[in-house]
Amino acid sequence: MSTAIETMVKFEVFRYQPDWDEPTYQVYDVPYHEDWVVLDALNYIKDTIDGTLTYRWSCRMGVCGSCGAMVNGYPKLTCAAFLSEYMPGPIRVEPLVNFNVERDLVTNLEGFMDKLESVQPWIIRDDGATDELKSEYLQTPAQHAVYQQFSMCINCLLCYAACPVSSHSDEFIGPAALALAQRYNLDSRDEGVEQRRDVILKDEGIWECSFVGECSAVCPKHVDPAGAIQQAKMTGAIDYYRRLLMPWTVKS
Amino acid sequence: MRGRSHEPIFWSIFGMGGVIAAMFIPVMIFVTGIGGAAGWDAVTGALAHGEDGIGALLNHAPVRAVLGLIMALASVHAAHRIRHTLIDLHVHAPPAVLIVASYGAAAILSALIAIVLALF
Repeated sequence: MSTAIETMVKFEVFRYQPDWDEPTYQVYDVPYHEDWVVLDALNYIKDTIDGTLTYRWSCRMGVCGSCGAMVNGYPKLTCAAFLSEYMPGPIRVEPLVNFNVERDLVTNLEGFMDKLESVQPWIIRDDGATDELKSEYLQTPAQHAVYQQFSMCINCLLCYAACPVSSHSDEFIGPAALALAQRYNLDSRDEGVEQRRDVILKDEGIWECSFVGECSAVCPKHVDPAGAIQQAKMTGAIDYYRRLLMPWTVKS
Repeated sequence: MRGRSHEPIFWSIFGMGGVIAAMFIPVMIFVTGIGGAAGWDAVTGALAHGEDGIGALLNHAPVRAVLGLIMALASVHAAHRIRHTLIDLHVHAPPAVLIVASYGAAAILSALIAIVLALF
């Protein structure tokens, strides 16, 4: 489809390169297409205007979780943010907040990876069969339904950008990793609750969460990390009082 | 357990206060405030007739104790929410100062409520 006069959208894109003293915003004019998302516009900029623009993306269909950015100040998957929602513009694209910036829209994910690993988000068995499957572990649909919602996380980290606690605490394990911890703790095949306990039940685990709920509001996969953390707080509180009042019932 | 948090103490009282506040306070506001102001016979009658109404109910010590508990738990709930909101708003104060200031205020308020309920 072609129109006589093409509608243009102004993009204000956060730019930073490691050898620059400070970040800046660069303005690009992008033709408006009703069926374009912000990621299409970024690809257009990179292909036709400025090849130095750096950002992560892969699947462009809300599965890989790599294209998250702040779009007009709100954490979004750029592949799911239609230009039509932001017309007439301008559209400001910035890297996800609460992360250090490596270059342009690319953030450093090392801190998150360490936190993710710390909650051991995999099936742990008392029989030690973590790395070698010794038999099938059967599960009923009802048992699967208990944790299914929390297993939909794609690690896009929009929840960390939305989280007020992550904005002031580097140590806070954060919504996605805590939701995954809860996902495995609720899995009938898993026996690793004890091994995750120390990490989850410290201040920097579930207890720093102030239950603002923005993590669940921005989640593109409807995981509800805030709900997962609240569930974990309930079991954590019961565990705390049990240890305090009936220590003989607790395994050492 | 190393590094174990004592936050469950505050959180569980906060949780109780939240449930209690959500369940009882709207009803109390509705009955004593809106219902009375709107002149509903059932409510104004209860307020007016001291011997059968709310006034008489308040003469029972257990009723006063329950009322005091509701208000005390609701104040701890508010204190906890204010404490965490201040942290979220990047108010840089030592954690102990925030704890003493917020729950201390709730404790003082609860003590005042207890005194009022005991004396009047």
